[in-house]
Amino acid sequence: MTALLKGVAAAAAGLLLATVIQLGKKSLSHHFDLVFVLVTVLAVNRLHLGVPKTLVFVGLAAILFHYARKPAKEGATK
Amino acid sequence: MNQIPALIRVFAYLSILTVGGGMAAFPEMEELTVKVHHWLEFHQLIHLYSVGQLAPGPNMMMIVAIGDWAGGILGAVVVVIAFFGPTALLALIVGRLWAKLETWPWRQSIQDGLAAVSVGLLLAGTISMAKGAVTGWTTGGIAIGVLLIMLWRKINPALLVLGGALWVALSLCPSE
Repeated sequence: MTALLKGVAAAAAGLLLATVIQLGKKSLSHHFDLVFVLVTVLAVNRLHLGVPKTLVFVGLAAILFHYARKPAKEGATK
Repeated sequence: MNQIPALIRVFAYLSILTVGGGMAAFPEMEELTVKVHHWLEFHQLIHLYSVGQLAPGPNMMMIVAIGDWAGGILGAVVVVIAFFGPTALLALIVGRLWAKLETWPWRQSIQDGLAAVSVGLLLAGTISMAKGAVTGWTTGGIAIGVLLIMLWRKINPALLVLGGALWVALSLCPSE
C-alpha cells in the first residue's frame, strides 16, 4: 500500500509541474515575469517568508512593473 | 470537537491564499496542518493530495480527510465550507466588479502581475510537495516521465497517476 501511495505521489508531482508549465506558458505576458516567478519561489521555499507576505510584496512589485511598462507598450502599438 | 474552531480558522485563512489554484496554499497548509496543529504527518498530507488527483472534482477536496481526522464528520463539513466559502464569495464579488472596471488603467497590470505571482506560488507549492514525493531514482523517474508525457500529449492524468502507482508497486527498487 505504501509503495502504491509513493507512486501516486511521484506521479502527482510530475503532473503538477506539467500544469504549472502549461499555465505559465499561457498566462505570463513578459519574459521578466519569470523573475517574479523565481523570486516568489525563493521567498516561499528558501526564505520561508510565508505565502501572504510573498503575495503582497512580490505581487505589488509585479503589478507596479506591469503598470510602469504599459505606456511604453501602448506607445509601441500607436 | 475542540479542533473545530481551529479547523475553521486555518482553512478559511488558507482559502484566501489560493491565488492561481489550491496548490498555491500548499506550503502554508503544510506549516499549519502538519507543524503547528499536528493534524497529520507531512507524508500523509502528500498522499492525501496525490490520491485527490485521482478523485473527480476539485483536487483540494482532500481537505475533507484532514477535517475528518482532526474533527470527525463535523470537521469534514466545516473545512469544506471554510475553504471553499470565502473564495466562492470573493470570486462572485470580484467577478462582478471586474467587468465594471474594464477601462480602469490598473486592471491589466493587476491581472498580469498576479498571473506571475500565482505561477510562482503554484511552483513553490509543487516544489514543497515534490520534496516529500520524490524520494529516490524510481519516484524521480516517474515524476519526470509523467511531466514529459503531459507536456507531449493530452492524456487523462488519472491514468498516469495509476501508472505511477503500479510502477512503484512492481518496482525493482524495493529500497525506496
